[in-house]
Amino acid sequence: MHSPALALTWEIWGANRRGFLVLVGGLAAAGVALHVLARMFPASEGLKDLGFLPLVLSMPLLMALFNFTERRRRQGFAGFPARLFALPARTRLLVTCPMAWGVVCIVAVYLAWALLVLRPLGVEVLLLWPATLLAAGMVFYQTIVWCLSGFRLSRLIVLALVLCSLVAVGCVPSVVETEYRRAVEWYLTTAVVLLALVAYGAALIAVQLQRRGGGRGWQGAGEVIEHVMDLLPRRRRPFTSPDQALFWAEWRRSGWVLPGGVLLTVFLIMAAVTGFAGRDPETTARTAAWLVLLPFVLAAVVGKGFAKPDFWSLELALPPFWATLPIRSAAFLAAKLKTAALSTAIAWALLLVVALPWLLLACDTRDLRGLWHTFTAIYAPVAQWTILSLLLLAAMLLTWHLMIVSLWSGLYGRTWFFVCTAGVGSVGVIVLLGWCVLMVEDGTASLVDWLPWAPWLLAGAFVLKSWGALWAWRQAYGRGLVSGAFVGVYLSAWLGATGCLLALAFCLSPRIDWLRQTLILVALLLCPLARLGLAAVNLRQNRHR
Amino acid sequence: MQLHLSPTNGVPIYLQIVNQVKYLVASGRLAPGEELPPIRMLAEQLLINPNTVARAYRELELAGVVLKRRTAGTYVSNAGSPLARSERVKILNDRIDALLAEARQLGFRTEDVLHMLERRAALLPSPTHE
Amino acid sequence: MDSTGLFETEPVIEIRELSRRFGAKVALERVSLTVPCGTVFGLVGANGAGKTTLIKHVLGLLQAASGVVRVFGRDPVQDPVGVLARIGYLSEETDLPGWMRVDELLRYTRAFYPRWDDAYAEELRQAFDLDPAAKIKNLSKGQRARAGLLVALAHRPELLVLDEPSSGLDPIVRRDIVAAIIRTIADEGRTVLFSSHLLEEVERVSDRVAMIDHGRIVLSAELDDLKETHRRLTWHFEKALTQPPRLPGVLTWEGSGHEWSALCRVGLGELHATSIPEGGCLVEERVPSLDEIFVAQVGSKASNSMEN
Repeated sequence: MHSPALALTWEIWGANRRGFLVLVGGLAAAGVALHVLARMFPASEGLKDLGFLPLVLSMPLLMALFNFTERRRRQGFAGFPARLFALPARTRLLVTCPMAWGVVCIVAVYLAWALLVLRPLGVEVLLLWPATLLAAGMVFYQTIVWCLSGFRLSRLIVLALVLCSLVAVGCVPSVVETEYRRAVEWYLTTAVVLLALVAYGAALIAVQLQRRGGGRGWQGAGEVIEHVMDLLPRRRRPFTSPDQALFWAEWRRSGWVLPGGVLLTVFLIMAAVTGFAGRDPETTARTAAWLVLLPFVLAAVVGKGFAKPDFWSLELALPPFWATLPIRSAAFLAAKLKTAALSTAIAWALLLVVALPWLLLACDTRDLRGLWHTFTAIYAPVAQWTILSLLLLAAMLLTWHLMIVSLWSGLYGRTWFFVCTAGVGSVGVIVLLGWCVLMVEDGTASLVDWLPWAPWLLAGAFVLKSWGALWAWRQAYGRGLVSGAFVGVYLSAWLGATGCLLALAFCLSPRIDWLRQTLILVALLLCPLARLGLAAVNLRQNRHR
Repeated sequence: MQLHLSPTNGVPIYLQIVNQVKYLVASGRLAPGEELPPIRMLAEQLLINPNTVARAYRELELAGVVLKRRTAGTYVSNAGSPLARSERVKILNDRIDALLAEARQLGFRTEDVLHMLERRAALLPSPTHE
Repeated sequence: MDSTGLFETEPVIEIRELSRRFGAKVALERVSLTVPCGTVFGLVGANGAGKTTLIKHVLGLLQAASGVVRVFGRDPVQDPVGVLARIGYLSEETDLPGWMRVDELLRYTRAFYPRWDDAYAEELRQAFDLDPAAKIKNLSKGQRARAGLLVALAHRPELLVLDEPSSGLDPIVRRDIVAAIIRTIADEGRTVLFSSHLLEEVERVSDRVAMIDHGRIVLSAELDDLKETHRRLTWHFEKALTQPPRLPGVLTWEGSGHEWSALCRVGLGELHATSIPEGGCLVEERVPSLDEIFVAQVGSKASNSMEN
């Protein structure tokens, strides 16, 4: 290799070979599948919407592949790889190479998808505007990752904000009237390109600063935050038991993430709605719906990080510090479960305390009140309050479920296993969604044909779940991973939670037989049972390789 | 009691301790009846295994240089001159061997060495005999 | 029977025919080792020889694929609580949680070990000069090693396991670590297992030494026996030689021309009498250091395999 640019390119490719192959393979497979489905269901509209899904999913993967930073797994990512600074290459080259390749790849992926899959499906897609947006997005992403290398949390927040605003800007031409659309697109394209160039310049300056040993003065903000956090009351009493110590460590590390995220997002939503969208009934109803969905969405995301032994590091293997503590494997698991439960409770409490008064006092709740009237008309007053409290409980249980659902795969400690199960899970969900969408499109007749089968399917799933649970818990108990107390406590918690959900199903109980049965069976399936026993067994495999 | 160890010169550490203690006793830096430091303290001071120190003390006890009083520590024995003298003779013999070897290397004969010894001894202040 | 619950003669660690591979690479091959109670056991080997793998098996971090590992008579994988409560562990990659402060770390670890000694922990903390309010990620490498050592020692473990504790550390921290080993062993009934490739340290402190090379135990003996059975002999030849003479029991030759030096395994005086090479006279005989023995042992295996 005689040119530095070629060498850098080879490094970008070589470090992420598997990722690139997965990307290309996955997209190709999805494209072929969509073509085949289009042949089978020619008139489906949902299919056209579904066509965007693989593209959207490949974006995070592309961002991860072009995350050209130092790979220090224990402490998360750091800034630009410092070892490259020792090479006789100009900073311009070091920065431009990954950035240029990132832009090229993302635009290529988009154009390939648009031309080869979406256009043949009959979807009218623009080429230039979205491509520009995506390229700019990649440039902003890499700039932020390199500039804010010291601040993991603020980096994530800034990144989320920038990407959201890009998406918002992207939607602007479609909401503008047709006659102005061309002009608006033109202006916006120029603006975005200019911003991207500014970001590129900023990246150059930041990396040059890092190369000269600077860029650390910005740690001042991080230190201020640390000083503030240090002022918070710290525990001074000694721990009375190992379980208490484990819980404290887990809470300090990851317990506050979900409530903090919920609080921050609620404030952002409140600010956005009050400032921009106004308080008409329709917006209020939509905001209320989003607020209710918020903990679930955040829990699903946080849950993936929660599955790792340490939330803030990328390492899935159990660090020897924890593996050599004289504890049973399940004690570690119990701490995580307790932290997740407390997190969930606090998050929901914050949501209710902050968002509910704001909704009731500051917004126009006409639509919502209409809903409430319908509700009170159907159910008796006693049933109303029972249903409301049980609904809240069910929501908390579902959030907790989303937090801990990945524990069994994350605690196994092998990256390929975690990624595969996550991938298979997501693919399964997507396939299910797609299938439902297609069913709905095809005409309600076939959907109604399938519905009576739902209780049978769910009953089968419940049998599988019980069987799996029995096997997993027996394994865990047999190897001494869990104490009798742990099993007892968890089983009673599970029974209690499922009991409440069953009560909810009964209260809501409509007259339709299969619907009631479906609800009951869903209630039985909701709380994780088998997966926790499996988590204990997998954690043992992680601890003793 | 100051001991100096060099672990890399090959001589086993316990033997180095034995030799050095013998030298200290012979040269009078350790008086008869003086207590040697306890095993643990010497081990921590020299950063070596206490078993090594124990072995060295055992060897010294076997050689009669020190006495181990039960639970009261280890003391330099009051053994009379014969042992100390034999140690002293050995030390001097080693030096004489080295001197003679070097003299031969440099091309001097034994008579020349004797002459030089007498001349240098005359320059020394007269020692007080012990 | 002493307070550890073992008879004095029962070994603390017993490993029989332990083998382990990682994919195609053989990390350990039929390793058998016994660490008696009350000894300092030094494990010596090149980088990648299998020392860390062996130590991880002792702690239960790795499962024995074939073979038996028993610590305090129990399997560390089946009974982690019972075994690990009596072990203190320090490794070269100190992976203490960086976000904790020193006093939080002490308070945290204290909750797990019933035999934690507060006064001793405080004494060590002051001796090591660790600021209680400092975050572990802000400590230097040496201070982090000291913090790890503090956490390993404060509960007065019966078995202290150190995995290359001194690598990359300055001499002052190394002294602290060696002093800690000695203080531990000076108490009755406590054992130390440590691996190192700083042979000078091993030589000072160990009672028994085992050498590991490419996953196999090359040598395992009391340090004194090892020293007694190896000699470095130097001969002076009248005629200059280009090749060293062939002698049995010689591990490696060094030298050129008139003087050749050999490091040999000696069996109670036999070498001197029978195998004086022709035309040579012995000029020097001394006890080699552990360093020389190790290099000779490992090197001789390599040269033997090359000849074969």
